[in-house]
Amino acid sequence: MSVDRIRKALDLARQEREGAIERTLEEPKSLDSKFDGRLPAAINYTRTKSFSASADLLESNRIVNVQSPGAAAGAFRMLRTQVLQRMMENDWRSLAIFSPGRDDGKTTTAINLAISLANDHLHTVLLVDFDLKRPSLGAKLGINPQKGADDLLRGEAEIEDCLYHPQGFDRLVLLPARSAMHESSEALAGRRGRELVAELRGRYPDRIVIFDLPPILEADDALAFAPQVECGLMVVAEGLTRREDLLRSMELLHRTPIVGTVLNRAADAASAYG
Amino acid sequence: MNADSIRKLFDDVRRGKLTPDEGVARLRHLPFEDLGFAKVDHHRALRAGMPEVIFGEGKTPVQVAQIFSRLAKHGGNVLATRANGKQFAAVKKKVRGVEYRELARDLDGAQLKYQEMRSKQSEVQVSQNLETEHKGERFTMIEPPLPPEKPISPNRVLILALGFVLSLGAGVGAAMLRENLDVSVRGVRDMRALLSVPPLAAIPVIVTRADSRRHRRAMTFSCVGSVAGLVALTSVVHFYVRPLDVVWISLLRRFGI
Repeated sequence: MSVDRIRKALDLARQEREGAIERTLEEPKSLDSKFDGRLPAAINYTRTKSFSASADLLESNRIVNVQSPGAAAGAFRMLRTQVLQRMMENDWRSLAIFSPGRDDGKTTTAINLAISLANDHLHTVLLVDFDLKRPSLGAKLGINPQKGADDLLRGEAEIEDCLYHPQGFDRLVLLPARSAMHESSEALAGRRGRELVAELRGRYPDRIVIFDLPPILEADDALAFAPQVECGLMVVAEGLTRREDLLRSMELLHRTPIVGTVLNRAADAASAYG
Repeated sequence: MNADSIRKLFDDVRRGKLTPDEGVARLRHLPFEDLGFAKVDHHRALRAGMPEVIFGEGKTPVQVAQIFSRLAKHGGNVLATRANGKQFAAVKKKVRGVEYRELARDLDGAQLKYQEMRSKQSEVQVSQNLETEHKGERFTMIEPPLPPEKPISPNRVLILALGFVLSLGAGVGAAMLRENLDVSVRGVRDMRALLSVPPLAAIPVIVTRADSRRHRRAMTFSCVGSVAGLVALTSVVHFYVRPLDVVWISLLRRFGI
């Protein structure tokens, strides 16, 4: 891994010296088997705004460095691999992050999962903040968007104007929301919402789109939006999510395939997998 | 008053240090001085070779002290038997050089009691023999019930042991109650039981630097707070309730160490 990275960096430096300034990333050939030797689309951020997120902000918002050897990073890699396997089996490309109540760590889990998915070199990841009751993706990463998901749903912006790319996180693109939105569930389930999802999902074949949604039991947004995603992930916070709320949420979502659950704030996380 | 002091009195009269009237006044207390609640025999030593002995039991500390000081004033050794601690304290205030032999007192008391018990036992045996032979025609009360020497209750050791066991039980009970009342999801096993599949991943609590700083601060605060509270409590006890050394010694004595 590290040798590859160094080699990559050296290659890049040489290319730059020789005047090749297009920003292409060469993938190690050995990783590729399923995609017929076709590499992920070369990322050319023409209109996507690049920004650098401060390390302190990420740390204080519990954004994990997924390449670190820590327990949380390991857990997210575990989650990433399982989610990816299940999605690939069914050729699913869109994933909604659900949770029964607020403060379950939904957005944080979504960000960390998106980073680990992007980190596996095979996919580009788009993380969309559709929690239009209390949008927090932008604030967590230090983005102050001019146009956001709410403007898109109102038809007042172009997708390209709303995309952000955090420097240092290759293959990850964010679509934050600018502010809370009234009648968000109608907007999400309506025509414009459906078109938006179809466009976000269909633009790049290897892109995984992750949607952060409001809590299931606090607003009908998640339920109204559920038919538009192919699968969902249920986030549960230990000691916070009530058992009956979890069961009720699973019942409500019985039509949506749930790839699985994540137990957040687990006290016995270390013992769970030996 | 003993032979020596009377001889000294006569001597004094003969040498003219005392007038005969004064000598008579000194001897007026012969043989008894009436204190109202007790007649003090000042000349027992002279008559019987042994000074008057004060029988402490049944007298108030003030009475014992008064009798004692009268006897002591007239010279010679004074002995008080069956005296208790309060009586000793009262005497000590009035008279110098008093000794309290608690062990001897206890020994005397115990021996007396033992003798009594022995005689009563033999009486009982006799009456038991009578009983078995004559099929019991009448009962006699051989001994009225005695108040026990040591308190039967409270049994402090038992209370301590009981308290220990009960507190353990209460702790376990509280934990179980809390677990039963907790309606939130707890642990991977709980998830598996609810949904019949385990979670894909269990993510540990992600501790930020701010979290650990807050935690450290809380720990420091509670440590300092509890130490300060303990010191404050101890000093309150020491200065307002009972000095600590006294508490320590009485504790040692209570548990017989």
